[in-house]
Amino acid sequence: MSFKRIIARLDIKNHNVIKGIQMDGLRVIGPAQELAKRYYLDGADELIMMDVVASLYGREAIAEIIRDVTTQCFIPITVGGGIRSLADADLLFRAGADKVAVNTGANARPSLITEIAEKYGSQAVIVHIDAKKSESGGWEAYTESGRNSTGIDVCDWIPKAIDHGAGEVLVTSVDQDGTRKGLNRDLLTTVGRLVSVPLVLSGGTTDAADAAGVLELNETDGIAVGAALHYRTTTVPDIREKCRELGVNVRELVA
Amino acid sequence: MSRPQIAVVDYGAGNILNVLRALEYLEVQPQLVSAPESVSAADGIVIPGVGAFGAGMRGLRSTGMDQALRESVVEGIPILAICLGMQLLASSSEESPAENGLNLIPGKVLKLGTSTASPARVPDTGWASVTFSRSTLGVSAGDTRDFYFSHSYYFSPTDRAVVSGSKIRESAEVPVLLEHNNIVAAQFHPEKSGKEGISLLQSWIQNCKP
Repeated sequence: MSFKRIIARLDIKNHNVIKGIQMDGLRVIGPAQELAKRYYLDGADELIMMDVVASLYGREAIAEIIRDVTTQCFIPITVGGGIRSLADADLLFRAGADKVAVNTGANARPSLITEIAEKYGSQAVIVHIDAKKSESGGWEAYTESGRNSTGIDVCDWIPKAIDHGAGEVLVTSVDQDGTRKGLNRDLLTTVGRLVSVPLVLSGGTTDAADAAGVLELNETDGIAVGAALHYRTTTVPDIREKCRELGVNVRELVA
Repeated sequence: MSRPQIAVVDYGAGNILNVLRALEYLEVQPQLVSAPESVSAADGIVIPGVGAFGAGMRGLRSTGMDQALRESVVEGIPILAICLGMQLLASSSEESPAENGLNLIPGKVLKLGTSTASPARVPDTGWASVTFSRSTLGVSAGDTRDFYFSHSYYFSPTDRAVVSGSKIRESAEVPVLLEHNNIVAAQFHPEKSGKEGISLLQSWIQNCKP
């Protein structure tokens, strides 16, 4: 049985970690390099670095950050934001990324997932879904960091992305994102039924109890925590400790 | 005190960069080498790599690196082989049956999950607990350490006495750390396994005397 993962999520604009509420009204938290190192030293199992403006401005800035971060952080690193082509993914892998997360680019052209999976293995391609509850009660996939509605139900999109070779699913609740009002268990249940690959839930972690409670569920392989760590509502060691109390199987740190 | 010269073998496989960065973090000056003569001068040799067995062996042979590595074993230079690097030490692999391995640790590389009734997901990617069967690299016999893996194949050595650590997968023991002569071979990625991985690398570097 593999360990449940506590992942630190850094949304990045230029060289800073930023965080907004519901992906809007962005506020600077601090330099990406410093925050990445802090979470690494705190024992995060993985880092997700999401370039929130890459779709608009290109990718060289994030590649540079990855090169910096990987000189000091020795855990798996997932990078997302603005990946439209295999060449975009190549740049990030060459910079030191272990996995890439695709969203908008894959939505426009699902074979992008296949191309990356064939070159780097399916374990290196994560499909990232920004999901928003629709008026009809379903969950709709959004792109462009939650700005654009696709009209596509996540229940249609996720199995398709997996068929195309996605080795992992990261799902963010746009409505919860940055609110620290609690991870969305309804979204987790909805998506959990569809996936045969590891599933990571993101958006709205309140505290260690919320995080550990969701990690305890069968559907979850990992949670990605942003605002709650940035604002120190909780810490990676707190979440790990809470997981142990609940009997959730998490990595043990000894060094 | 002078630092050991660590040669990192570049044979065209992927993911070498993060190994270099981890060694630099530990303040050795790793040298990326593809010429066979560069390894015989080194105080320690790292064979990293992610990729396919056949392409890896062809990469090593095309430069004569295969022969240089065999000579390094005879000379007693410490060698650390990681992931695909570890598998290339075997006699052969199910991944590329037509290709002979280096045969520096006799054994076969087998596909994960093929011997179990309900194969777990392959590639097997993520953290797993490794139980040490002997005291080595700063870890005591019987202790466990959690390391990061990403693999579809594993090394099954002919002589089980070379196994220093294994993980449990689908109720079966998978050898993931081997030691034979001056060779340490790890299926996991110490360069991606947090402070515990870095500490293991550091212990190995201490075997490399300038």
